[in-house]
Amino acid sequence: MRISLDWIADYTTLPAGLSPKEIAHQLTMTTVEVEGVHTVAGDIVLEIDNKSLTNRPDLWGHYGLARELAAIFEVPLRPLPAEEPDRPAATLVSSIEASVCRRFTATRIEGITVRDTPDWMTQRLTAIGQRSKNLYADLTNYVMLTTGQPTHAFDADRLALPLSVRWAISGERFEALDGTTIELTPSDAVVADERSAVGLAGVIGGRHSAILPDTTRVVFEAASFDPLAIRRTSGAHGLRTEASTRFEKSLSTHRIDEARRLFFHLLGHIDPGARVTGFDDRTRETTAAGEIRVGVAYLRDRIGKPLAVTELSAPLERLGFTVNIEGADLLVGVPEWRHTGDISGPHDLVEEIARLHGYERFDFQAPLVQVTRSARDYPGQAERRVREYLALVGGMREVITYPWIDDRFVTGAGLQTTDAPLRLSAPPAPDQATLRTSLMPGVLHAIDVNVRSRTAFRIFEVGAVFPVGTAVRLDDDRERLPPQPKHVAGAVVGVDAERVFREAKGILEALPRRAHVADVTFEPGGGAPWSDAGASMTLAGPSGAIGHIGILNRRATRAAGLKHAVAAVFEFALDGLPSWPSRDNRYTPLPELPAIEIDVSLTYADTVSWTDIGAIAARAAATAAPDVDATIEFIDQYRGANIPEGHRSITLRARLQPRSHTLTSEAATAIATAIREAERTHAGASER
Amino acid sequence: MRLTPRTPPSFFQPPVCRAMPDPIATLHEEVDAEIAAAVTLDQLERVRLSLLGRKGRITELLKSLSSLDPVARRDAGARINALKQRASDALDGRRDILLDTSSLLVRPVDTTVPGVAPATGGLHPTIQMLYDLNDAFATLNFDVFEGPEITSELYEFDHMNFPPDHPARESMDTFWLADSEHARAAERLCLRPHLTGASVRYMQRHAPPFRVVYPGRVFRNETTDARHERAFFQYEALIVERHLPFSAGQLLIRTVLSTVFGRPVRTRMRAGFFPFVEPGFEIDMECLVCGGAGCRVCKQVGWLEVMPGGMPHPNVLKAGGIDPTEWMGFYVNVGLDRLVMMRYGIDDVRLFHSADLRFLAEFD
Repeated sequence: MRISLDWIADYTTLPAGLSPKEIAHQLTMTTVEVEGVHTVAGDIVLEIDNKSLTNRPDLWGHYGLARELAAIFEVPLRPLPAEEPDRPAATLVSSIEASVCRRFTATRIEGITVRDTPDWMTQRLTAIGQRSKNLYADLTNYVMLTTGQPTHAFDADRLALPLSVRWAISGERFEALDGTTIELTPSDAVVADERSAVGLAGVIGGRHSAILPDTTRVVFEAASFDPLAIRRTSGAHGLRTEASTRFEKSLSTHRIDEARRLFFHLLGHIDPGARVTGFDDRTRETTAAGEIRVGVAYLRDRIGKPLAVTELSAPLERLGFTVNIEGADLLVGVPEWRHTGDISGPHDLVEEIARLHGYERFDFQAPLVQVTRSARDYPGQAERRVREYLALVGGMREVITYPWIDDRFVTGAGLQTTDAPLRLSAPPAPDQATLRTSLMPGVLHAIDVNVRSRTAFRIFEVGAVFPVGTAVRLDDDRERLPPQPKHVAGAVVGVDAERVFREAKGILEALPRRAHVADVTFEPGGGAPWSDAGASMTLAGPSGAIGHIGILNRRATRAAGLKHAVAAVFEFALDGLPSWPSRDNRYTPLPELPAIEIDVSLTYADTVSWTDIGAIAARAAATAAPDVDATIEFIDQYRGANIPEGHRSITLRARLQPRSHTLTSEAATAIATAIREAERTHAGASER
Repeated sequence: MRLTPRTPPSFFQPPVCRAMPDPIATLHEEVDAEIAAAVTLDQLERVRLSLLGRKGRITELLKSLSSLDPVARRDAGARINALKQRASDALDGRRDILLDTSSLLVRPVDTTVPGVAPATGGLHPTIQMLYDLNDAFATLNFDVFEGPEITSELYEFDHMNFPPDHPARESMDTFWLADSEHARAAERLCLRPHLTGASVRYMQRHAPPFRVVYPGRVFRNETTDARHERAFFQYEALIVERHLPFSAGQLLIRTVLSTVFGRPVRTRMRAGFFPFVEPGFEIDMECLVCGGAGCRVCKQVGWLEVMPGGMPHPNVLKAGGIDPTEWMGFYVNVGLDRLVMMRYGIDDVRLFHSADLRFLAEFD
């Protein structure tokens, strides 16, 4: 909204020497945000951010802002010019629909001779960016831009009086002032004459009853409409007008009289021959003034400054409130223009006093707080440790994807969009309607985004998913919310499937220790819909399965846009790995005797698993040397030259820790020999 | 009968009456000089060979002993062996010095070749900021809380003192879930449009006084562009105390801004309206691009809106089971992505959800 300082000067005289920039600054600090200050043809125009006006219907005209400025700069506010002509009663209105219209007044004016807008009015309207049209359009516009109350003028000879306010009839057509034709529905409120709709109530007038150059008789409408009804109608037809914007904010019904009287004051000067020949006023509801009792102590406490009682009352009075002191209380009268939902209780008065006093004049006061315990946050801390581990130790980059994912990634991950229990009513795109039940579609999307610019990378995401499950009570008996567990998913992308799988698995194996969460166990097999059957494991926490790790299968690989690379991926439920409230690992005393490490390399058929190979070696070592603790480690595996097809060479390392006496190298060699023999016998191993 | 003097005129003897050089003494001096002059192990080896090798000078002297009479041989032998021992020790000492000061490398390393990077990974820049703020507020003993992403109209609007007909309740702003969009209150579910609803959940679970932060992702159904996103992060902090004038809320504002920018930033509080606060504020910070002088970024006003805040509306405290006549509070709400953009100079908010590693790698 644009405000002319020349126009404001009609109603209040601001202190001399005040720069427009200072006026803009004070208005911003105290009331509404001024976004720009412009000089237009000798006038200064302030551009006000409409968003900062949404809760102040009284500020949608120059007079309301003049009242604020007068209060800010402590100067008098002049009354709004008013002229109340003789108003012979006439039936100009038949009925008004109470759910739409609070009050409707119609005034018939005859004997019109002047048709041109005076220059001063044209200049003012032009300065704030309004186009001058004809005298009655300009007059009603000027009245609205002064009082905030929209009004409308009809050509009386083109109306079949009386007027009414009613719901539209299905299929009824209406041609608006701007020439657009609208097909109305029964949820649209209209102003109608005896024949048809002549206005979309509170939004826009009709073309067929508009003022023409030869109009001599006018019906002047000043009415107040229900904010919700106006917003629905204007929203349904995509018609946002100056009028609808104001009615949506809920206007005081008294504003109608201010508007009418200003209108007749102006008309009396412009066209003295015009006379009122009829008036009709239908009122369903009247905006009342309010009253609030508030303790002086309450105000001082919240304001945080020991202001004198007069310092509390003066700002309110400058804004048009009345204040009576009753003992330790103030009895505050709320003017009707602020009693439309804006000011309703003592807390609202705190703001009025503090902002007029100036927020910047309150020094910082350190809060005095009582501390009864230290703030600790176990689940959040575990999540943070997992994230930091994956990023900083696992070398993975964190991505964040939307909770709605393109259907193609959902089906690519082997999931059915029809299985997702939650859908958006108005999704961002038709194929993004379901809310994710798994992070995997998002991981596929993230791979797809990056696969063209790099061949090897690691990513992870932590976020809530929305799987099928029973809705639960969280904080209120009336509310049931769907389960929304946090999941962790990741991908290691590269060219060698075995290698990326071992890298991804290695990251998860070390996670519990580093992130201080419960241990993860890995079970071969598992039913992840995105996993290749040849590389698939189930992850389990202390209370059962929590997720999967595997190589992306062909369908998922295609969906992720991978052509020359493979991805090892995992996903698990974070809640499935409870965090430790403190460290729970124990110190192991250091052995007194030195340990010896021996490496054994043998060739095995691919069908023999490492689990079996390791177990055989451990048993063989224990049998050969009962007083030695042997730990068997996987060192490396090799395929290629000198290794038959379908076989691999595996190097294992036995770490031999004697318990009773020092281990000789001969004894160590004997254990290695025992391992070799056991592997040959029980695992079909052969020497390379 | 002695025909010859007891001491023969031999070069093994220091001259008694003639200025004849003593070869052992001469060699003695040469040994010291030559060993000290060797600066490489190769040179030292050559010195060793020239002294102690098969044809070395000390070796030759020892061989010549056989031509002497026993007495002279004993004396000369002792002197030569002493010289040999001395040379051997000096060679060993010199070798240790040369070894310790020599390079173990086959060739010098090209130290201008870049280092090998450790495993590259990193947290999302917004999450980094979120954790930075959690750490800052933890030093002030703020609790960290997390509300659900899917919640209800009851918490997001009714408890937040939004009027029943507020436009934000309509589907053009909020992502309502299908099949509940026509229900009301607790039965009408949505992706949370702001974090503030979670504050009431916290109030219901905790008795005041308390101080808490509750960061998270929120969702708005709007058209996206460089400045608008459908999913973005907010960071909210709340203190509830018996006595907390609104100017105490500056603590929250200062904590946030000094954490983000690493130095105090000039701010101002001005009137602002939000249904859940009364009084409500807009908190502006000095534009760091122009230092407050006015530029394109701040639309010439020198200030940028960074966070709304205010004292919880009595209806909000009541919804949380807190008596508004006894308790007061202060909220601040931060658009986290926007602060991240200001921290790094990022010009498109949509990059945060792009999953583009070229972007994310800039913040490792």
